[in-house]
Amino acid sequence: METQAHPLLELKSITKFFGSNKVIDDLDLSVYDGEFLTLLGPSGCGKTTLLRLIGGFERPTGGRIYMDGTDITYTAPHRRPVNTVFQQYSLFPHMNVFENVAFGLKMKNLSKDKIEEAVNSSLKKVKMEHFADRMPMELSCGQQQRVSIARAFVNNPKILLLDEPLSALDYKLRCEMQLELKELQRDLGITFVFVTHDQEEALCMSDRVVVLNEGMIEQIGSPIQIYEEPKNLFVANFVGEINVFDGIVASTTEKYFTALVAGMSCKLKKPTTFDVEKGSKIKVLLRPEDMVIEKIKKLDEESSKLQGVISHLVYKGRTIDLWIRMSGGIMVMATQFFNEDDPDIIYSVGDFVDVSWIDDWEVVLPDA
Amino acid sequence: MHKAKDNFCRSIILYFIFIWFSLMIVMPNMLVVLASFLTKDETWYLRLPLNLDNYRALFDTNLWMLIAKSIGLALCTGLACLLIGYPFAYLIAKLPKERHSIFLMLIMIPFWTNSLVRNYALVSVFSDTGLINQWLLNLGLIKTPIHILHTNFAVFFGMTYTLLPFMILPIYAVLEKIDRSLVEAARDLGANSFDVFKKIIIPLSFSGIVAGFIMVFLPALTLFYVSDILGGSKVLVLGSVIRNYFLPDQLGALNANWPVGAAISVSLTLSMLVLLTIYFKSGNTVEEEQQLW
Ligand SMILES: Nc1ncnc2c1ncn2[C@@H]1O[C@H](COP(=O)(O)OP(=O)(O)OP(=O)(O)O)[C@@H](O)[C@H]1O
Ligand SMILES: [Mg+2]
Repeated sequence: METQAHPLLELKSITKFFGSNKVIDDLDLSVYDGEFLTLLGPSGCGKTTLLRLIGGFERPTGGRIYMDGTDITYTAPHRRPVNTVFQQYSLFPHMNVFENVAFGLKMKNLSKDKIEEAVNSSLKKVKMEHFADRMPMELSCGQQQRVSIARAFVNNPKILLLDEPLSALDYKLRCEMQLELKELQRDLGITFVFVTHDQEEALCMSDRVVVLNEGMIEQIGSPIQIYEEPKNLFVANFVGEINVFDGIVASTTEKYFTALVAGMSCKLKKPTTFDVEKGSKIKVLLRPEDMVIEKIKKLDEESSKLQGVISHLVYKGRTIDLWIRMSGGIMVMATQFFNEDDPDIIYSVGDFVDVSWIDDWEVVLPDA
Repeated sequence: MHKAKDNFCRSIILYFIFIWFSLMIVMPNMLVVLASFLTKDETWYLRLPLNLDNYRALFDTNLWMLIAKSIGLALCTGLACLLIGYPFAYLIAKLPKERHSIFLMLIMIPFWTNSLVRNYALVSVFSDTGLINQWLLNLGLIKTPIHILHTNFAVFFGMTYTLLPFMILPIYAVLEKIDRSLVEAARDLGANSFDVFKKIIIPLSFSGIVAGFIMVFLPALTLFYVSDILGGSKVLVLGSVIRNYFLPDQLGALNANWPVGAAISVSLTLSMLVLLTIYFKSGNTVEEEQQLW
């Protein structure tokens, strides 16, 4: 994506203060035509603020916003080719579904026929064509959400902004809507900028994910990059569960290096992002599902592998989560697929296990 | 134990309210209704037999002229209150939340002064030797005082001044409840400020406008003391008509006719009731919608 010539939307060193509170800190971001971009971050990190800056509801304290090369930093919301799906739906309570969706088109003074055609076809796209005469209060949350999405995209914006549109829905409906939204985005070909604090949602829907923290971008990348190659501890911890081991580099070769990880000597692949030097401190990160667990009879002081005791386990249907207390005292989480044919899989609290991981699947970061 | 005590307290309070309501509101009104069916008496004001003749007074064309005048004045007052009150309420609702109470206080404080006193104060503003005329004279803009007091305008001004808060408060209450994100949604969809006002703010505050209008219009029909103080001997409001039937006039001649006054009063109350029922029938649905929303 980043190789594409012209970004559709460009934020350049955007800073936003509320009083003396710095909410967005010198942020640069490009959004490309047709992509599904997700802003992911913990509560209060400035996601909504960023979206409101793009929508025109807030003015940046510093920096510029360009749309197709034109400066729109101070353009009023109703003059931007951008539409928003609000978190609380914000349907007009005194208008029925049809009138709500038609609102933007009426503002553009389109002819009655054109409006009717556009409204009906967009209601169809969100499967609400039979509800055109209903008032918003007569709709369920999910239905209201669909209408508010239709109301936004019927205007054919260059960018659709969505602020946690699914957060008020129950789990099952949310999963359904995630798929539908993704499909809708492909179908419409409109650029989506989607806000969520739910990492799973971000990973399953987006072309690119922007991980935000305290008004700064921690990492931009595809869902796979974000999950498999987190650039720092914040991203690693925020996106999914992860085990973090402390290590000290013992020796290095051309492609590999050995390090003392949790007291064990391990041979690891050299990271590309920074230089490892003998004696430097590192962090070794491992996803629970990359851990390999093997049951053993008893702890072996001489063993060359990491060993521990299962202290806690959670059965999750297809998988089982194990918390293992290592000899050094640290806790490691491991997710194992449940396999009925394999008797080894019957773990119980107090079992002794060897702990290792699939070679080269670790992420090595410098210890800050 | 506690519960029993709570219940006891609650029923005491409920009984008290019930008794108060019966004694102070239901009883007097029933007496007025009863009076409207009795016959006039020179010394005791009322006597038997029961009859319907008093209601004939309602068909008097003079009375209807007066009613028309009074309704006209009340409509003008309502309109003026709306034109002044709506922007006022809108501005308050737009301010940051912390400042709302200060401005609401500023509206409420004059309430704590008796409105009779406030209208007397207006006399010293409007009279020929009053503030306005003195200023104008001192500034050399006029040679002789202009008569403001005892004109229709003075009464209209007094009414508007007295009743303005009743317009502002209900409108503010609805405006304040309008979700700001609705305004943002409208702007997002291409509406300019005027469109937002016309298509979102006005329709969503309509129930407040109606409530405010009723709360100004109905008292404006009967606030006879404003008319008395600022309008002089002119009979401008329906309230004065009723009052005149109940009080002996200044010359001491017993002009009072309680049964007819009662009949007019009952008719007025009934028409107000009808109006209010219509309003609540239509208004409640709006309010329910907003609450559900
Ligand atoms: N209008 C405002 N005035 C003052 N401070 C604000 C305003 N809006 C947001 N903030 C502050 O800016 C910070 C970021 O808020 P923002 O709403 O962008 O967070 P968010 O990432 O959307 O969080 P959430 O996931 O909880 O919605 C917060 O600390 C918030 O208190
Ligand atoms: Mg938010």
